[in-house]
Amino acid sequence: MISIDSLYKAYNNHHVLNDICLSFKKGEIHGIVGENGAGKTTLFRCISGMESFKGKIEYDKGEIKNSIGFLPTNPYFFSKITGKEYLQLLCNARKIKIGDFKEKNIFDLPLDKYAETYSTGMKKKLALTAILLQNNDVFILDEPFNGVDIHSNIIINQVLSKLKELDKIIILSSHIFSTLHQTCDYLHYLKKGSIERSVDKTNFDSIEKEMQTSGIEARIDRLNLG
Amino acid sequence: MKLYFILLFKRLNRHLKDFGIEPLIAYLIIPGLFYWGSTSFFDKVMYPNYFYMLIGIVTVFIIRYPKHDELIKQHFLLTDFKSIVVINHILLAIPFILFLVFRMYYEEALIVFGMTIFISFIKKPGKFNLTLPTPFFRWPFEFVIGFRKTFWMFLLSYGIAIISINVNNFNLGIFSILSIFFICSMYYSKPDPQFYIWIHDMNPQGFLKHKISIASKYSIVLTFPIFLILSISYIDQMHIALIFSFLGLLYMIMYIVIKYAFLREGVGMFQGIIGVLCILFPPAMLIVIPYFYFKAQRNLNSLLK
Repeated sequence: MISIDSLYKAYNNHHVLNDICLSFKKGEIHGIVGENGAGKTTLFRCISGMESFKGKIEYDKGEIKNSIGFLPTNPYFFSKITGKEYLQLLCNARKIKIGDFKEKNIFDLPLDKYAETYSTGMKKKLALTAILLQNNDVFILDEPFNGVDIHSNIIINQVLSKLKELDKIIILSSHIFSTLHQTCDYLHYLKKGSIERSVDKTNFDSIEKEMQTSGIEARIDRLNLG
Repeated sequence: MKLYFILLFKRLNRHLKDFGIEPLIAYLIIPGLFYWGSTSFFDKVMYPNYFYMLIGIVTVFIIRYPKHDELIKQHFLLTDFKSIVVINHILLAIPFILFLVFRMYYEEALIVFGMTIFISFIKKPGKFNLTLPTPFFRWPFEFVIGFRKTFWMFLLSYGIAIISINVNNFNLGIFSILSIFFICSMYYSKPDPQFYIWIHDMNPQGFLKHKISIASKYSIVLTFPIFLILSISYIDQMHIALIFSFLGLLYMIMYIVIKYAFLREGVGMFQGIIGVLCILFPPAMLIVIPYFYFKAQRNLNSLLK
């Protein structure tokens, strides 16, 4: 279980996260929703240990950093490194030995080609494959469905179900409500750095409605389209 | 189009400021440096007018950004797009043209100008994406990437080693060994993205040891052919080659620890000066390496546990 207690994060005087209190149990899928700039990625980076913060993040299995598989929104790839070498690098980093990467290539990626030449969706799939091979207990997936084709979306959904079965903790963000409906057990609405609401599956619609009614129409009107 | 060039000027100033130079000072210094460099070139090189002309044309050809051009093409009118590309290229070529005119090489200046216009209308060939195999695939990434970018330099180093035997010059052989370590040091000149450090299940000490061990193994593999070549003629002097290899190895290790000691800044001018000082006075590495090793360890503490 991961417990977040009174987490604050600020850059200079700009407060990005305020008094975040959340808990994630094993075998649960949690979705974090919110507008761009609400603090989702910062929260993920704090949980993973890439950002310093005020407050407490506790993990009952010890050091959380080495149990997390982190999928960034836009994974960065070095130039002149192949897909296979990227997988090798991420496995080496966690001391995982894999003999045949071809067998693990569930998204049929061209592993012998340079990763920098991959499309947005292919890059995401490569980064996801890598963290799946690391045998992590916790998965933080920032926009896992972004730019990914329908077929791969189905695979990702099934992978998430499998991870849930295996008692892994999964925290993800997405702007596509239908995918969150399908995959998540809980949703947390992050607004301006604070958790506005946390709901279980039965109340997902209320969050969707709340986001829809937060002045979207008025904003569109300001464009004077037409 | 006017706004485009105003933004270009603003961006240039921002880059100069990021680099730590006040734009006004840069605009005074850069032309002076260019004049000094060009004059030295004309003083020291044979047929300088032809080579200088070639350098001007190649500069315009190389410094092109297809993605930038594509963006401009998408959003500007076709005539404006063409004008922007031509003006950008002329701005690049103008220092070379002016210097050629100053030296009264009018024909050469005209050729640079003509070629600049011509280059503006041809499409830059796409990136060459053939995957080059590397012997370092087991432990990516520095040597995998570095080898693919600099493999031709190793061929040159091996060539120099062969020449050292042909011309009976052992020093040239030593130079080829040192060149390998120097090239490998350059693989550690850019800071790693945070993510690529964070992923490691190691403490800072283990991480640095791991990086040093991989670099040492792979650089020794790269110098091995030179040792073989040199042993043909200089078997009795191989101990000297080993001493210089050890120094080369220390030099590369110094760059690794400096890289992580300046995690956010990257290997900049200050670190470059340290590198040059250690070439001139190698014993300094005995102080520099431990100092930056501990600094690197402290830096990595926030990302590795």
